[in-house]
Amino acid sequence: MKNEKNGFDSLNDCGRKEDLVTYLYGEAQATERASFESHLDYCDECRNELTAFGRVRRDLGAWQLGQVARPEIVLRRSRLDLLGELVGMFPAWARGAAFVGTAAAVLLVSLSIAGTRISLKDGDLAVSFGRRSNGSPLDPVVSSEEIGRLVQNAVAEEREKMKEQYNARLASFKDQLDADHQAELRAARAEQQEQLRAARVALQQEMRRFNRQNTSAGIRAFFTRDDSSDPWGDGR
Amino acid sequence: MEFSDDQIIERTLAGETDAFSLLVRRWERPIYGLSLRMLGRDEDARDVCQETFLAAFRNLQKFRGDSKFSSWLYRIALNACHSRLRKQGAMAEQSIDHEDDSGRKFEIADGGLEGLPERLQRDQRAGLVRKALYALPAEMRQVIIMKEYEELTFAEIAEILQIPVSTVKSRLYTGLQQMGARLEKMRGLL
Repeated sequence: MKNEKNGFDSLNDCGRKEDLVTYLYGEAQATERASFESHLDYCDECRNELTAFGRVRRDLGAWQLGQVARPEIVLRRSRLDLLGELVGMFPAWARGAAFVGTAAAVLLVSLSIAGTRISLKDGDLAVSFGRRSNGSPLDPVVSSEEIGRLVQNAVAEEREKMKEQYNARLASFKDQLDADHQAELRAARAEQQEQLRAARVALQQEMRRFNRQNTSAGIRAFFTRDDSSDPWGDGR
Repeated sequence: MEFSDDQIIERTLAGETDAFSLLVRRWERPIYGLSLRMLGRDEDARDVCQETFLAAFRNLQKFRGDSKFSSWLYRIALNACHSRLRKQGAMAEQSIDHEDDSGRKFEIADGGLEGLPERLQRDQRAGLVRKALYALPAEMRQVIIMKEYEELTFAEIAEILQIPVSTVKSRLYTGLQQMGARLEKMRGLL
């Protein structure tokens, strides 16, 4: 049935629209193809649609891009990536100090905006919140120099702390290395002493065996000696 | 010797970042074509192309290899196209006219005066196709572009869009129907 509005057949009611596009683009298997071709013998809707789709495909083929210049692709790194690399170049303690400093600055600015006032006088810390009805901040007021000093102190403290941690880690690492080295030395010394002891024992055994052999040869020589003319062996 | 996409990815991830340019050279034209047909403007298509390869380069470690690299790349490009289309909103219809100009420029640059009447006729048809294609909803347009111009299989399109094959076929069917109806109507107006 022809659709008056768009001049096309109405929606395919035979339920084989997927088969139709599979067939149209040549992706149907041999059996599917044969099955759909026999379906086309009696389904006018599919046959008409196949013809119309073929026409659309020919029209689509008219839009070719021709010779276009190659798009130039530049693989440049984002600013975020570069920042990450830059930050990565600093040691951990410096990154930590910078982070804490930034966080402290943000906190102080936020508190300042919220009407919070912090004051350091004679070693006492005073904090106040809120604003007067005319919008002016309540006393005590903290000056920009004090804020700067607070931030600097916080950064310096954090830096010191991170340095100490870093040095402690280094010292611990050195101790560990020393301990390992001492253990190795002890093991080598023990092995050497064991070898010396074994050599000493072997030498002693060898000397005993030599002495035994010499002693028995002397006794044998004493008893087999002809001493009738000089029984004392001293010419008496 | 030609390296496979997977081999080039391995080399790139191993630190040989220049190897990635082989992938760019291999896939820039399909990605550009897809973007141009989706968006209709050469400038936008080039921007999407750039964005796509940059995103792929930066996220290469996340590419798990479950699907083909090209499918992953097409998906990134389509997401970038959709993002731009959303920004353009109602302006999308206007981009057809830009494309009419740029498209014709490409076609005429193909040759001299020889066969000019035929080429003009073809350009006229191409102009109609562009208009009919841009009038389609983006989800149907992308399926027609991938099937007709990028010559991907139904399974590949389904993988790129992460939808069932049957949905791809159904969208293509409806898209072709609507294209046909619009083209008939436009021809009647000429």
